[in-house]
Amino acid sequence: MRADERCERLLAWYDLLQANREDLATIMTLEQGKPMPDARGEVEYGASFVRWFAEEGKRTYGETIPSHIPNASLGTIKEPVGIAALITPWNFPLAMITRKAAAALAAGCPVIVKPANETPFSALALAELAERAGIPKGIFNVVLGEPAEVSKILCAEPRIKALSFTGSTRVGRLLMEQSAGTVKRLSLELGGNAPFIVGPDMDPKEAAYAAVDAKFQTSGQDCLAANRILVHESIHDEFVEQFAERMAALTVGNGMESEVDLGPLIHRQAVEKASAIVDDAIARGATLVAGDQSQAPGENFFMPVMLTQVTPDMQVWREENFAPVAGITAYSDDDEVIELANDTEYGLAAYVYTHDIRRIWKLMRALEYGMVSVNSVKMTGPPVPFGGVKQSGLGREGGATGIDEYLETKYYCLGALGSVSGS
Amino acid sequence: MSALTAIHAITLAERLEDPRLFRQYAYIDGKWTHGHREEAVTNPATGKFWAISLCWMPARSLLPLMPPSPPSFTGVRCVPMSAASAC
Repeated sequence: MRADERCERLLAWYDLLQANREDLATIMTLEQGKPMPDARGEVEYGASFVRWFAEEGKRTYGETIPSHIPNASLGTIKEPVGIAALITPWNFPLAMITRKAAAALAAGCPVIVKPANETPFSALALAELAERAGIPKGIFNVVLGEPAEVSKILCAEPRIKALSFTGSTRVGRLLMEQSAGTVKRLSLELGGNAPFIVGPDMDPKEAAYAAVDAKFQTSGQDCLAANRILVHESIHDEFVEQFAERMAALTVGNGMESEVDLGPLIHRQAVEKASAIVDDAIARGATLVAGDQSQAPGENFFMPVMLTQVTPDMQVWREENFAPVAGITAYSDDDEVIELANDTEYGLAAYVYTHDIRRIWKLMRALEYGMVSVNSVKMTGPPVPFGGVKQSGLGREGGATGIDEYLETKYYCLGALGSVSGS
Repeated sequence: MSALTAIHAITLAERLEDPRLFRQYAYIDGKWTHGHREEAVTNPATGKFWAISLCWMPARSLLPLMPPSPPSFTGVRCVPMSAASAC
């Protein structure tokens, strides 16, 4: 199938995703818990990658290389890497599949999707729509099973040439080990522990409202969630007041109901983990400013929590909490906040809120993160390279380079061509 | 499909404009493939299971089920699973 034909099938898939947005959002909310408006947004977001890569697949150009060999012509062509296994998480059960699969399919690679067992039905609905879109049989596959067993088989299988995974750093390390035997192409989007830095020049209310948005989307179950909120000491107290006010306005409930901002956590174990992180922080000296769990509307719900005076020895600082738990601390100068922000094994995303261009540039260059967003909570989308450094992963998804994760560069040397002017 | 599964499928189907979007089987080589085990999927908001995934299968049985001869999606390097090992 030619690139333009693959583009047509992918665009047909995109159209079907859009046409079935409401049903896809319903399935997602029932299995993942996020509020319906967020689920609709994820369908839009997920579909946008299909459209982006449909077009990108037509532009996988090779290059011509000026020859250093007499009478030879040199160049490169791009070839699909081969069958790709895609292991995806439950927090974004549709978009994390399309972000990977659309790139792989556009490149010409068949895919085997292994969705999270908590959220299989979004993946299976995608398969139904892929079939309707005319994506040939055997090109888009969805399997389910015991995660550790299935992953081990996929990693060890030599016919599978690439593995893309979104999930925890712990599992990412394991998949790297298991893939070593077959030297697979790996794309790993792993954990995050994002700092949210607020400069002394900021309006505390503007920054606090942005921080609430950056922390509590998907009930904090987001690798981009602002886990560690670092506020300049000169505006710390006012920021905390504004953050608490904004947080109090959030409604927690069943995502199928209207006017709900935060849905449940994915399961009871997630609630227990969140509770343990809060207890650990309080035991180590943090102050619980807000977050009364007696108000939780069900056993899988966790009311948003704000902790102040958090320190690097606390779990809330060191771990990706994947819960609506915000930890806030004060800092005194830029050098200190850089050191605090980089004090983590993770390096996915960082937020900076300030209007001082010198501070922006200094922080943007000094922060050890794959993505830095300045004065904006929204940073992701099809045109940008999503990915982290340090133990947040390998490779980039989306953007002009996203399709390269599924392409090999083949160099060719055409020798003995005779004397050609300019060669 | 068990009676219990059927009940839940109907419940969900009533919520969807297009009930065919609710699929419970694995999708392999263009076929909806039954697994060896039923697995309940929980609605996190209620804490109760709301549907059953029927596509769990022993890991060792996955690869033989993979496309025996998928059509090439590019013409190059989309090697049929069954033939790839011979390359």
